[in-house]
Amino acid sequence: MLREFYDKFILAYPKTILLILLICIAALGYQARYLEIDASAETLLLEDDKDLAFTRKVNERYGSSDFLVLTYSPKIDLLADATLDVLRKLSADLLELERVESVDSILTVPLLESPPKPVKELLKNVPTLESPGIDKVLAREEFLNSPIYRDNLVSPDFKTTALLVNLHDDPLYRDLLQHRNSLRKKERDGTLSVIEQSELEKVQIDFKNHRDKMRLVEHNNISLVRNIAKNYRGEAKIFLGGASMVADDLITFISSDLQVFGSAVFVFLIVTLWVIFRQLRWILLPVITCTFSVVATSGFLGLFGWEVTVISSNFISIQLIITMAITIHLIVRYRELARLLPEMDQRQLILHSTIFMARPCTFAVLTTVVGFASLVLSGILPVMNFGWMMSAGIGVSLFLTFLIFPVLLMQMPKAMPNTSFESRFALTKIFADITESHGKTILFISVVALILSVAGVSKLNVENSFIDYFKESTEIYQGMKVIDQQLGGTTPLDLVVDLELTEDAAPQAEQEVKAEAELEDEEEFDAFEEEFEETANEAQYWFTAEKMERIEKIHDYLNGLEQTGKVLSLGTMLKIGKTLNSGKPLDNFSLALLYNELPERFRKIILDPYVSVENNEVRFYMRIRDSEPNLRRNELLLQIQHDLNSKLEIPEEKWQLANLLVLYNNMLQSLFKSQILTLGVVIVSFLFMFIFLFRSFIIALIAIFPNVLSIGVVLGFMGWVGIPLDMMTITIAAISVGIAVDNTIHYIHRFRHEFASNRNYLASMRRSHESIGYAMYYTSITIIIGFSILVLSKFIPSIYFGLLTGLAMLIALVAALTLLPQLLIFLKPLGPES
Amino acid sequence: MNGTLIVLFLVCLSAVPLIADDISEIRAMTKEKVDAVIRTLKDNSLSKKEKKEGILKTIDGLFDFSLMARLSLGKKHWKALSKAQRKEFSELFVKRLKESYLDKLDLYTDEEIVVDEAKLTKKNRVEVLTYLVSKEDKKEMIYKLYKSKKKEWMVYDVDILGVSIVQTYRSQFSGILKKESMEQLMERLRSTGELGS
Repeated sequence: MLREFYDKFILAYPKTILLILLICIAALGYQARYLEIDASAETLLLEDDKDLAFTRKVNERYGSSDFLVLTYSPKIDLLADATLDVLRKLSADLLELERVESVDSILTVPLLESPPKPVKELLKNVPTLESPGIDKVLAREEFLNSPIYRDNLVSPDFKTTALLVNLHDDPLYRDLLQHRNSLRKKERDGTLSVIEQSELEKVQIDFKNHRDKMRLVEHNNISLVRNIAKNYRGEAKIFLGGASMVADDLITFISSDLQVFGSAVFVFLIVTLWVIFRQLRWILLPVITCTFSVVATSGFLGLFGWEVTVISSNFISIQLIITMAITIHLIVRYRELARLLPEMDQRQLILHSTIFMARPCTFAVLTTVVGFASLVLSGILPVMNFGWMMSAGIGVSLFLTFLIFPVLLMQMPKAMPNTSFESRFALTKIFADITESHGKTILFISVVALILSVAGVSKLNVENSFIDYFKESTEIYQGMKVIDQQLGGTTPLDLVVDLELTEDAAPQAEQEVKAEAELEDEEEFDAFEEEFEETANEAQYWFTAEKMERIEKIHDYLNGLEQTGKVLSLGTMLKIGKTLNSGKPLDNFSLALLYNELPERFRKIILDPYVSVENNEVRFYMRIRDSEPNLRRNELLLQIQHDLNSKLEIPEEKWQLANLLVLYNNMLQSLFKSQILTLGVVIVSFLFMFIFLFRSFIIALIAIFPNVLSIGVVLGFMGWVGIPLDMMTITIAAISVGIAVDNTIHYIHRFRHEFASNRNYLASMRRSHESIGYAMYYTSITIIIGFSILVLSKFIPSIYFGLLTGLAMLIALVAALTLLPQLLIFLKPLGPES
Repeated sequence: MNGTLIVLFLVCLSAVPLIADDISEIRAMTKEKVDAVIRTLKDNSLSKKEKKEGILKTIDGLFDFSLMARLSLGKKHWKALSKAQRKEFSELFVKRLKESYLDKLDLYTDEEIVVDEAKLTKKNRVEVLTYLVSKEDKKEMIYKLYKSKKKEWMVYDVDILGVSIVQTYRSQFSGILKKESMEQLMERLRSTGELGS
């Protein structure tokens, strides 16, 4: 049927088909303009994480503002006049930027003890470093000892300070995000009405448009801040940090990765094609199919609004590599037929090679698609999207290659192949020799490798430091490192505690004998009770010394943990209050008074982020030192959970942890599960596919084994060397097995074909090595070197991904050319020889 | 019908000047005591200790400390106490309240106290509005008085800048008693500094 389709339709009207194809590709190319990149923190999280919903709630309740951080380490003393002068100028320059609302630095923050003054006097006019009569020696002491400034605004060695560049709030973004999320939640719960459905569609578009607009504004702002900072680099070491800068830089990295990998892989492919085939047409043809495939896929992504994330940033290069592999198989078969059957004309050659390769190529692509599609089970949004994206992309590649190859080749005359490379480079022959003479050794080495791999796999860990995702030369790395080690840590963690106490201590038995006078009193008492009940819930009375005691206890506990950098809470403010109150804790009355009298702008800074009176709730905001090598995120969270319950005796339902550390840890902890799930599904699917394809359980097992070994060795290697599983490396197993099985399918397909003709295992092996072996060898080398190009990335997981996938492919190739034939010869699954 | 109205009207008429008289008397009494406290504070011939003793003497007749103790604990908890406990609680609380009040007086510098109007809020309740006036601003303080069984007007709460002293203690005690026993609260009151207030 397929033969008829090709013969009567495709090869009969090649020009028309080519024209239609060109029109379609052009249309999709137009859509490719809409291809977008998303590098927001949300892309790095689990999709259905309950903690994510809670974290959003906490951010909504306590507010979170957007800011950039400039770390500033002068060559001279931090409080020297010259340094302060530069800081003043730098702040003024920053303030001129449209996006910048204010700049907080050592120059602007209130100094409360330099020198110490009575509270009343202090409140009249809160001094700063700029106020006349400030004692710098005392100011230095204050910066270094203040619970709010130390490890936050200045480093403990007093060599680095931070400038907090507060950006204007974007209420529209927040509103749109909230609206979208609430509608999405309804959609998930299945309670979305028809009107809300259209509302959701609209808000999603509005959100995206606004986000894209703001992203440009943000990008420009960051460039401007960088330019300003550059002017001051002579005086000090300056780094830029902050969430929006990380997101912006990531987008830049992704765009550059897309371009660099894309073009590097492209150039590399052309060189490889020339080295192997030495004929212009075998360069042009693959280049055209590859280009068309990538353009078409990008068009689809743009059309459906799928965004490229940091994980899928290498989709272009992977698609190029895989499209190339399919095309090489077709070319090798064509060349082989042209050499063996010189009497065939061009149309016959094309028809035969296309039809012969259709089945194995479709299966090979299907297995690769299964490999990528399994990533959808990971539960990690960017990994899932990557899986969908690549599955669709490879489907497009298969479809287009099997159309473009025949119709384009029809436009060219028949040409005899130049086999100079094959004859000079006989690696497959060497593998055939080894398989024949050292069969047992191959089996033995494979078993040993498997055992070592299992031991290595048991050592795998998921502890990832976010900072280590970036090369040391990047500003993200340098800036985060300074903030992490000198200024109190980078990964935020929130603890929210409900302070409501429901259990009353049982009142003692009422006095039964009442004096007359007492009864009279009671009426009076009731009247007073009513009066006080009326105002009992007013916010200022919330701040009781007993609550503050509990808050301070929790604060001190969190602060005492080795892994926490800066801890900020109402407890911090209480400590400052205590200092100002000559060492005595603030009493209930002062607290209530403070609450009532605090000016709005101070309340926003010192109360609103840490206390929600109406919810009877407080928030402890911590930053964790991400670059600490001994940091075990999961263990830390478990320890805090345990201590809150047992040491601090807060019932479990009264507190909850939130923010990035929790979300990040959830993602990391899900990696093991995702890895086992995706790989398990891939292997089981392949087993069924092989049984279907080869109609033999034994052959299916034989086909699976070399691939399991290759990925086992790679995972084992990661375990032994200590490379952690991360969002990218968990995809290696599924992807490389998906690609590597192509070799197995092609080889067994060919082996059976050869075996049918003379029923001799060894001879079939030799002939398979000499035919399909080349194609396997070329495609694998192309894939290996193609993936290795990812080392050019600035994103470390991409580098690991490239190198380790390359390693997996190399092992798979060697196994497919040694272990696989040896197993076939040893187990004789095709029946007895004759 | 008309007769009843006239009688009611007359009653009201006669009641107003009576209370108005009462109120101006209360205002005058409050002013007198407050002025006395300020005088003592400003008197440089007195030592700190003498000042404190003088002030306590002045306000002793004005403040109903034992009522404040009862109100601060709240009816539910107060009723649960034995006579001896009530006595001890009142003593401890009053001592604490006085200390805290005197501590706050240290913050006083040169403000003037203006006693503004007094108004009847409920039957037997009067609020006297006063201002602490300094060069920069004016802070509001309300003395809340009630007519005691001995027919004397006495202060049962003071509201400073919208914060009631009694209410502050009430919220604190009820918070503590949610997780601790009365005995533990007493212990906190006995040992200074354990309460924070």
